[in-house]
Amino acid sequence: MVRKLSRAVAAILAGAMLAVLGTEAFFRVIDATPLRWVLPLPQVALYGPDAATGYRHRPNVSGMWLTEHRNFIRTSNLGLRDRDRPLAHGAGPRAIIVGNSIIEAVQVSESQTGPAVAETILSHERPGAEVINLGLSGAKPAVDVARLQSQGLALSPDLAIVVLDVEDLTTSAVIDDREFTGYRPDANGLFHLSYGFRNSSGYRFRTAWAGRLFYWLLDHSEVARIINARKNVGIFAELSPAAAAEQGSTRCSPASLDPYTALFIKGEPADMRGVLDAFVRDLAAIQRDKKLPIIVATRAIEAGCPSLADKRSAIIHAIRAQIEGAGLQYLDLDGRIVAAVGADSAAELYGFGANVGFGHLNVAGNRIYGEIFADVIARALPSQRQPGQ
Amino acid sequence: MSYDTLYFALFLAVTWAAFDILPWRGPVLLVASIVFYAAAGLRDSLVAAAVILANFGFQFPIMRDRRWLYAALVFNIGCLAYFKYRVFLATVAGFDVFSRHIIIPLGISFYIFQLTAFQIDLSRGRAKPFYSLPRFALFKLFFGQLVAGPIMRWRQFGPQIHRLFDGTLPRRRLLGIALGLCLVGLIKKVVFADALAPFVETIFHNGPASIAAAWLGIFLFSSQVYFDFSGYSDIALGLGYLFGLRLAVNFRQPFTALTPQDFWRRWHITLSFWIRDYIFTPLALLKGTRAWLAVSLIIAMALAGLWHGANWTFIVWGVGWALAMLLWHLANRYLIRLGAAQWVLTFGIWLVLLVFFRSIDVEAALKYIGVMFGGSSAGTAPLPNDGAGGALIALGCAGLLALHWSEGYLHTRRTILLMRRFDGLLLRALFAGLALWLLLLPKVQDSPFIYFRF
Repeated sequence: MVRKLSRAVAAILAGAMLAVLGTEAFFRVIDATPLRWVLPLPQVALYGPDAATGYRHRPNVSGMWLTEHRNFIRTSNLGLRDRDRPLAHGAGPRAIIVGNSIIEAVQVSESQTGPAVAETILSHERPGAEVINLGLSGAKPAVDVARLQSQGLALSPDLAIVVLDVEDLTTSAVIDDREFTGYRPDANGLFHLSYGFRNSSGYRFRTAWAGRLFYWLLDHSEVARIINARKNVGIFAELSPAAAAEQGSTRCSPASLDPYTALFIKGEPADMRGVLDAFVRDLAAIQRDKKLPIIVATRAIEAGCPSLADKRSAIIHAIRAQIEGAGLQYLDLDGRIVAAVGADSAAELYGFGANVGFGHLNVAGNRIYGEIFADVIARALPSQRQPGQ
Repeated sequence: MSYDTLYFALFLAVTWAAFDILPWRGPVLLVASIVFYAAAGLRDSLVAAAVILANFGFQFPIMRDRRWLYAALVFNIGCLAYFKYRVFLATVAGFDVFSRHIIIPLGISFYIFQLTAFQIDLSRGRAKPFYSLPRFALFKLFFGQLVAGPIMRWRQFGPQIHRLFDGTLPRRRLLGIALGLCLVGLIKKVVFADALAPFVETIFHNGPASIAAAWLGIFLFSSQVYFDFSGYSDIALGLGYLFGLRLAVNFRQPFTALTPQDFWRRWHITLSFWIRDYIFTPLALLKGTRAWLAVSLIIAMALAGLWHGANWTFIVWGVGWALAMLLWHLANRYLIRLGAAQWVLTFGIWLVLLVFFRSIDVEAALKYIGVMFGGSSAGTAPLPNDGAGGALIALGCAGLLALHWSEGYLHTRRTILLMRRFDGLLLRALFAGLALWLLLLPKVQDSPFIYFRF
């Protein structure tokens, strides 16, 4: 009886093991051939733990990105969504662009991202000019500041552009520090960078030897990536399918700017206003202490709607006043985009395939962003960086 | 509840365990099927319950008086017309007194057709009545064929249901084959159909920018819809075998068909035979002339098209197939001389007509077909260029056809004997494990089975 049972268990285990090996081999074949542009495979796992921000790109990781648009992606030697480059400053000027997934642009190839396009344009006029992509998916204002302080300053930049997605200031995620750096209030109600994630079991696991083994597996095994991807979306994720993308146009809706009027002009809600003030305060401190010119670029404040022009103008005026009042420079990214391509074409800069108009920047969108960044950087940088400066 | 999800796998595992352990196999499957369908929502469940109850009731008067069949037909077709076609019919009639916000109950076309076939067979003496409501309910509700077929006849499925409840169904000897079929179906759906969907969506949404893009788009949709529906059908067959039930085969390599008639003997077989037996043949028998035969075929195929959806595109699709079949019927002696070139012609007809199947309206379909044959294009979707040149795309398309052709080897007697020979815990664990890994892979985008919407 025992012998029969153990033979049955052995057969089942052998079958399960063969299934693991078969799955690994199957997806490896897909990953190693042009089939990877069509057939399913587990998405590359780009991110690892970081004490300053909670998470960041791990260096020299490569694989297929699948969400929105397939793209082969490789992180740089410095652990950035960027080309390989030395940490030390070169002969030319160096600018960094900090932001979220719009700047990270994992849906297009590295040379097509906004920062890469800006670098290409700038290097025609200033050989050796560098524009480094510090975009990080999901980065909120606190992560932007922490990333600038840690990874950004380590690059000895001559200029930093911090792209603020104002939509982030309408969600409570900006005051949550359980997964990544957030802004939390002190006893006086002033917001400061907070690193609650460092005490989480997940972070402790990821930074221990078991975590290192886990990341090694992620880099070397398709099956491990499947498990990781499933863990991220949830075991029964299909039970609650993601809401379909809005297909109806919501452009120029009368209420679209109301949250920003409340935040930037009326100072409501108070906690979001506190986060905004802390964000500007911290950037101004970095600029002052590190003598690093910083440009704050806002995006997602709808431009090109005649019916909203007055409302928008008041919002931009208030933002500009606060940012420039702190000694920083300001860039109205949405206004520049509409000026560059026209209000009707602005939506076409987003999305891929059948979903143009929705999602992240496509190749054309990144090109426009790159041209704007190149122009802004060229104007803001000193005409020639002196050696030793 | 979709077959390509982890929660369905869990549901299946629990159901299978209960089925294996408990002595009440019929009731276990019935309860599981009710749970399965209840996931579609209360409204859909109530509609399905009402239709099943009504049809259960219709059996007895039909046995006494055949005229009651017409009442059953009016009820069934009326339900279908109300839930699926009322907006279309109102629009055709030039007015719309109904709400446009209609959600078609899940699988209604399939269960209405199965129950209608049963009532007709009953009136013709080709089926026996169910005196037990649970048995009758499981006849239609079995979750392996509830949502998208195969459309089972009484003679195929009724006796199995009785044996299941009576406890006389033979022991399940085909678990390896059952899991193998589920795995093949999942591969078709997850690896191929879902992978092709974004390319098809882009080309049809943005419009093909060139002749090559137009042909590629419709070829890929052809592969997508085949892998999607035949994958579903393979899983349905496998689910049946898991519980000792044999469901009807719905696909037999349709893209290898040499003629349109042959195509419809291989594509969605249970639907095409339903159309043949319950629409075409009765219509054709009304008059014996060749002209009436042609008219009957056109009507039957138009209705087959309409069955897929309330849109003129489906009617044009069905009529187009009828005309193709008539062409082969009339010019067979010439066409047969073409030999293998007949395949090219038949496959070409399939592709061209499929444009109507995929397009949102007839005008869009005609524009698309225009581009396929060199017309000017306003579309913006080029050939995909990420990591693939023209030669690789052609190789990929050839690969899809080769896969389809090689499927023939999966369903041979030799393969089945081989599977039975090696069937055991190791093979079952291997198949179940592979299927589980496919289910674990998260979906990049939501791609429900295409035929679920019919």
